[in-house]
Amino acid sequence: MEQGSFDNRGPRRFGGPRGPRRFGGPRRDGPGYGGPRRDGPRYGGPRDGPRDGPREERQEYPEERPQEQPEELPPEGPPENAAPPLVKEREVVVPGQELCIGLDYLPSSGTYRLNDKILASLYGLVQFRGRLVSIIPLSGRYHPVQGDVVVGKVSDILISGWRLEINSAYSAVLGIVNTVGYIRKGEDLTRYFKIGDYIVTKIINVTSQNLIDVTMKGPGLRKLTGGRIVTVVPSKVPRLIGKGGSMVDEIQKATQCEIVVGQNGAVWLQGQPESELLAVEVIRKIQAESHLSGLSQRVTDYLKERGATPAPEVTP
Amino acid sequence: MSYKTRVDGRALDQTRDIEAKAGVIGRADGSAYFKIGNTVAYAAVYGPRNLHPRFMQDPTKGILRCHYNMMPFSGSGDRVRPGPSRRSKEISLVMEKALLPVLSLGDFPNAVVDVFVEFPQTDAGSRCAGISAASIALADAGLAMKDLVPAVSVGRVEDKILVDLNYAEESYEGEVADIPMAMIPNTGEITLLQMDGKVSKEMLLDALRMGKDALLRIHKVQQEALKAKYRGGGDE
Repeated sequence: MEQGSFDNRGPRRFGGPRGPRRFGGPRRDGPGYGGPRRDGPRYGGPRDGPRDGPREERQEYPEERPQEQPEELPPEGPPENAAPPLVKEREVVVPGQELCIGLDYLPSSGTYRLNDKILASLYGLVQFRGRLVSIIPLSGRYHPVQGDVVVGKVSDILISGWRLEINSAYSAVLGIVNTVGYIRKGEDLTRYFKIGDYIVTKIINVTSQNLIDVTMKGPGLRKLTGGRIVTVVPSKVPRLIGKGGSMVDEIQKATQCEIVVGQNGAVWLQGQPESELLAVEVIRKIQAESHLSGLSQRVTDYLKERGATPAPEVTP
Repeated sequence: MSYKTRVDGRALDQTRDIEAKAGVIGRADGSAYFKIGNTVAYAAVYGPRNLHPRFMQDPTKGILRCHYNMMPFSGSGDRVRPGPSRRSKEISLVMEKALLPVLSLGDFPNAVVDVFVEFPQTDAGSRCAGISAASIALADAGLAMKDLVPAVSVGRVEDKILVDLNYAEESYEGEVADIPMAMIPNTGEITLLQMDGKVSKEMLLDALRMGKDALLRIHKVQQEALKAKYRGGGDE
């Protein structure tokens, strides 16, 4: 388990100045300052309520990544006389396994067509959406996508920014222009973020050569101080978040931990030491059982069994 | 004297007993265990990840790097000297070539996928066991692959064509040929074919035919190993 070191979990809970300001700590409005602590869930998305007009609901958690499916595809299922697929929905398949025979289905992500067959190219769970057959992987590193909120670890200080490890094949770069506040040219960048710090960032661009640019401009994007980091398989992040954030909200309420989930599978949590451990256990459980159905019920039962404060019922 | 029955009592087209398991090394991105008779292979996959030295980077696609290593105590009594040898470097290379055709690394320019294959125990057929293990591990690492790659050795001892030779057969004093082969089952493409020894054209073709059948059986074992990792505990 990767874990935030304990030496930085002082009583100070702000991502702000470390020392008295006259010793040259970061400015209050500098990029290291995540704003005053607010209550309520923090999972990378907007933490404030609606500010200017109605905000699109749950925009911080797309339940599924916007798929690259062209919209003109027929939304209806395969024709009546189509040969039935060789596998069931949510079945575990391995690369090279035959999924469908015939031209009635179309290969989507994680599958390919060989002659008249659709075969799996990933190890994962089969998903049928109309005529499309795709595979949700069970493993694999994070695949960076523009707009994702990721938790990164500072691995290097560059001339005008920081390099972040984001559990991907490629590292991300946080440029000083993409931080909040003003940093003078030639300033010592370690005053803001040191090597080993964790930051919540948002991916703003991914090039064809997978150079990744991230920003800290946006609600909820900040440096993380204290707490601990747990990593999960990136493909299981949607299950950990739950529908519209329901799963992570439940864990937060039951364990009184503050949780930030990065799309890259890095999860930061902070609370009382025992409840942090409980939250870590629950997250591991979700990771281990995410391919089985009835997950949220089992998580609720598990939290109750472990004596966590039950989440208050929400009455509409 | 001619070779009549196999030393361990197997049928001519029978492989040794096979065990396979996916996900045996916790910290690796993907891993597998593959045991065929007394040959044991552990494969661990790391990556795709940043590649250094940089001159090895390919800006058009990711590269695959295999590392074949026999442990010092793995041989038949003599200590295997640790570190890369001429032999292990060659086998690393042929493993790479056997696995590359199923991988699509175009999404990972400048990156590398490292495959480490370790042998705690060997009794002939180690490169084949290594390829079989590595392809399970690559799938377990979540890499896009066209298929799993099973591998086995075929060969002849005197006038008999055999599948999956063990060390006693491979080192038989007489006319012996040892032919390791690997195949992409979906397309029937051969990705590894080497030979050590002498064989006639007819015998070679017969041997390859027998090898293909054995490969399809190994392929089943590989698929089962991956599926078994997520079995049970639910309503599936």
